[in-house]
Amino acid sequence: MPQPSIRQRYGLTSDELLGTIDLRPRLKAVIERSVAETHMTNLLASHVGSSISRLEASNRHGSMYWLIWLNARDQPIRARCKIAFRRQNSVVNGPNKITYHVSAHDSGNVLEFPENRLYGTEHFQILGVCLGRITSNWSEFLFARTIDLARHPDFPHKLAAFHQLPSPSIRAVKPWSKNIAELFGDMMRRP
Amino acid sequence: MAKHPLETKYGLTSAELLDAINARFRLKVALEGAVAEHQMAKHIDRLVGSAVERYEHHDLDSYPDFSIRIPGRDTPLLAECKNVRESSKAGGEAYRVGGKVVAYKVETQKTRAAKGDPSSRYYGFEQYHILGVCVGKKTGDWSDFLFVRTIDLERHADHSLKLAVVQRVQLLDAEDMRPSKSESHATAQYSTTLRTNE
Repeated sequence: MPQPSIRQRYGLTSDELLGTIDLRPRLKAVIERSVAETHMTNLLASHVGSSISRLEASNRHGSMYWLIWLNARDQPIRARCKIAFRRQNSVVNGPNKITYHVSAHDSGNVLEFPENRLYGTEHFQILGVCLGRITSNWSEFLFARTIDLARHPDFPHKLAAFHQLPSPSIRAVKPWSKNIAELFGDMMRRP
Repeated sequence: MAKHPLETKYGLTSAELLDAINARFRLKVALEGAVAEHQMAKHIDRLVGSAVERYEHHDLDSYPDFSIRIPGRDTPLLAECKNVRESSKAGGEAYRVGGKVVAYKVETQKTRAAKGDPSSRYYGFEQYHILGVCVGKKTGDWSDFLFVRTIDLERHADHSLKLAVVQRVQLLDAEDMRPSKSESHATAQYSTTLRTNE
């Protein structure tokens, strides 16, 4: 039996549903993650048939990741998406920062083992950072290979909790790239 | 048709936005909370000009969803909106007698407790005056509500000034609309319409 659309199910029009979201800042903030993920899915899908031979999106415990099979590679790489935000104490056009956290289901005893909140490079190989909250363009991303990102000072096998991004108004500097295909090429040369 | 501002803001169509939400369980749960609030606002809105002078919706942590100003009362009535509890198990979550559904359930506790005080997860009786329960998950009509006064709800077994975690919600066509079987609640009733004059 076909599932009713989200609009039919709740008895509200699209405009009413979006209006409901728009009035609730907390809900809107949560939805922005799925907005970024939708744009990242679209972006990755646009490379299928060129640098990517196969793409799978998976949503585990509310946290989305992508399995990407690059051409001529048997094993997929894993990618995740985060949203960039401006630090409260930053000056206009100053550095922007992003946060890294793992979801609670992966974190174990966070109080006893704080490093469990941090990602290891084995968790995913590519990080996509959506710049929507900074540039208002939600399809604009910066990408980096996790092996090139800074490590946590106390846990060198984990990624640092915060990573500084280049200002979106200037050219991306390593390890960041605005073009994910550049990273795919780099992974072929430097697995 | 003109684009909704959120479509412009996020660069996605309304269908893409709503599909993205629909595909993510936790987001859908959050949206369903907002949908229920939207529908409850319509119930309150219908009373503006008669039983209600004005009302406000709040999107704040640890604060009820609505404050309702009524004639002859200095302070607002505070109202909280909750969705009836549902699960994916066969037949859904409900109270049953002999396999037959006799009542629904609603969870009246907060998402999390404050550090060092597990009981802070439970609502105190003073935190809001009216509970509106959207039973749309059960009936398919998200404008279906049951309203009850907070003082008529079940108390927590270990914290007498707090609400029990799960409350009984009568079926819309039930003859007995009491929220509790206890003697002290003999006259308490769920109502399908919001009443502010009790």
